[in-house]
Amino acid sequence: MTELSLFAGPPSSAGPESFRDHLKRLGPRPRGDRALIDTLDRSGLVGRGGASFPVGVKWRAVQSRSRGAAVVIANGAEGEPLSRKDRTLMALRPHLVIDGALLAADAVGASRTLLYIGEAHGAAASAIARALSERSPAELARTTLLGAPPSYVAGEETAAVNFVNSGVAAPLAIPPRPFERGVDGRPTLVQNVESLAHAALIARHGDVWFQSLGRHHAAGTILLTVSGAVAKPGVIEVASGCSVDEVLALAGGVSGKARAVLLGGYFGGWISADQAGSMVLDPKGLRAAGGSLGCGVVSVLDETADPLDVSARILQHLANESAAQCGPCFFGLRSLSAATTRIAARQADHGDLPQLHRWTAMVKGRGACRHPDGAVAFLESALKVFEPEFAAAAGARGRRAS
Amino acid sequence: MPDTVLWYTTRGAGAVSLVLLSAVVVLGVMSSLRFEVPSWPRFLTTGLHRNLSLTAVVFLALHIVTAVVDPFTHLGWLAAVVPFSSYYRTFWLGLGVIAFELLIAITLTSLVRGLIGLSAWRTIHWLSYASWPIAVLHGFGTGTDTLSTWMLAIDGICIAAVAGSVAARVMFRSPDPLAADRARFRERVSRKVMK
Amino acid sequence: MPGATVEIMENEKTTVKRIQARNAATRMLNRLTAGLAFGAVASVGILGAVSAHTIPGTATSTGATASTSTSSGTTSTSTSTSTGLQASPTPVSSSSSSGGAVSGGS
Repeated sequence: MTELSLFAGPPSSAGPESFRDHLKRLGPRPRGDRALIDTLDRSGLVGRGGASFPVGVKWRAVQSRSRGAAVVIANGAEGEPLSRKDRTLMALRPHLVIDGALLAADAVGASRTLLYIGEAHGAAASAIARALSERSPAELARTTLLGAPPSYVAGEETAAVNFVNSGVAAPLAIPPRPFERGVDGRPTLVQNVESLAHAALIARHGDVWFQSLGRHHAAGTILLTVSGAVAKPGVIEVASGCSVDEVLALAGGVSGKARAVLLGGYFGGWISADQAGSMVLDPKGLRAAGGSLGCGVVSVLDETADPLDVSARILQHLANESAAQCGPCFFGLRSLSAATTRIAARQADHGDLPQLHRWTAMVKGRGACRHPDGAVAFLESALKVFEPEFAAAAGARGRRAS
Repeated sequence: MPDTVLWYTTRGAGAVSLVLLSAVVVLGVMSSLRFEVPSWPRFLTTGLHRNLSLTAVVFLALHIVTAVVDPFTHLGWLAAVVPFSSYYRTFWLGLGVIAFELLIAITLTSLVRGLIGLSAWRTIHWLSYASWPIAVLHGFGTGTDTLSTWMLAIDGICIAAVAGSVAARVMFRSPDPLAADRARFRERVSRKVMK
Repeated sequence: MPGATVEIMENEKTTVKRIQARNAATRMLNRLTAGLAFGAVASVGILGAVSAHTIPGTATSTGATASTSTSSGTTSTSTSTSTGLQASPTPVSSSSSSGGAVSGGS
């Protein structure tokens, strides 16, 4: 059984936790200082935005360059369609997120704290806005609320920085990375809101406590968005290191028979059902096994659904969400998406499937940002897991002669 | 070595630098036009552009050093770095110093492009359209051989090559195929209201 | 980047051809660079010699004598309008002090 940490306290039906209840349950916000960064190192907390990068290392990178003028961006853009955990967390525990952001600002020496929340996430934005108004005037004066555009790439860290600097949430080429030069050219920490919430609790309870919440060598809890062919889809908090089977059981079990599981969202990858069940959801362990937890999406595809159609629509979305800043992404993803859609519609041209393999190799690593890489990785996982379906569909005679 | 050899070397190296730099400008324009044929891929243009510009810097250094070291010029190292500080042909020599320093800025920023970012690099690189003509004017005004037939021929070829490539750049600049889609995306992700 | 790793079934033939073409172009780049650098060195010598022939200067050891251009077909300037770094000495009827060309001023 998972010991809840983020969602400990009032149930979700109670709505956003008020500042008074938050203080009563958890006490005042501790000090954010360099010692907190060391604690975060020891806790093993890794980022929950998708990259699973160690949080302490990230804060230290900003703090060491800071000179008191750094900037913190709490990233609640959540542009991944299958993920709902960030908006749910912000809607139910806004003060944990605000605590985490302010702690980070203190620890890295930031003079500005920005809360970058997807403008389409109404409940989350209003909960955060109301929570801010409950805080002290000093804290209110330090923070700014920004509406992130509802696009897939708006949550990418350079896109967030670019949005603050220029008003346009388009990803930028690196170097420089935000922790070197970000908002107004200052060292900027862009951190996912779930990571900040965990940090807010670690600051109170310590690294040993956080470690104890996880299974085996994994640390802490993680938020997952479970969707697809499960009885009770939704956002759940589980111990890091539990298995996919346990997660699906918590979500009421698979409705029907599972064919595959999408792990990590549109930027994640398919795992076939027989392999997925025993997979352990621990960011570091998954990465070592060649997979990724990404933003914590676990979506189940059952046998009655058409995997090619689902994959084609996801790829289409990723292609549509390209920032059109470079040819490989815009044209490459468009071609890949068109070919995949044709195959899914059983209207494939003779060369479509081999071309998918060729083009994925050409697009990888050639983009100005990592968007095409993520899309290509998704497609490659589909080609692998659904190889029989792809082969059958590509060979099917449609209206067009080959 | 007889001092006149220094003088001849200055003149020779100056002419060679002009030829090399003209080739560099032409290659740069070819690169921006994304010139490409099966036997000549794009990286050949950019690679040659980079290699030749470094070569040009070497010969430019030879041109400058031989000029300063020549005992008859009484130029001094300061005249080579501070524009318009030489007693001799103050204006025309000064142009050369300016062209040289612009070239150094362009070269150095290209070497550390990763550190300074793409837009800073691009802004400085545009100065090459200033550096080259200033260098040509320097040659006209200071050069011993300006009116010699051979030098006029070299000048003519270099100017024609650069002018031709710039004309091509203006005429054949293909419209950015991504412009419309990029604008559409940016419109979608632009800040509407400041909270 | 998140995503399961997958073996890519890339077409081997196209890869090999792509790599061969790239290597050929790289060799061409190296050859052109070396050739042009060598050519530049040679040109400094050649053009230096040509320039010496068209507008020679005087060596330090000789006395200053008029040494305007003698080759035909060139329109080298007369010494009275010095355009070079080292002004050609003005024709003098009496020998000037031994030494090289007078340093020119404009």
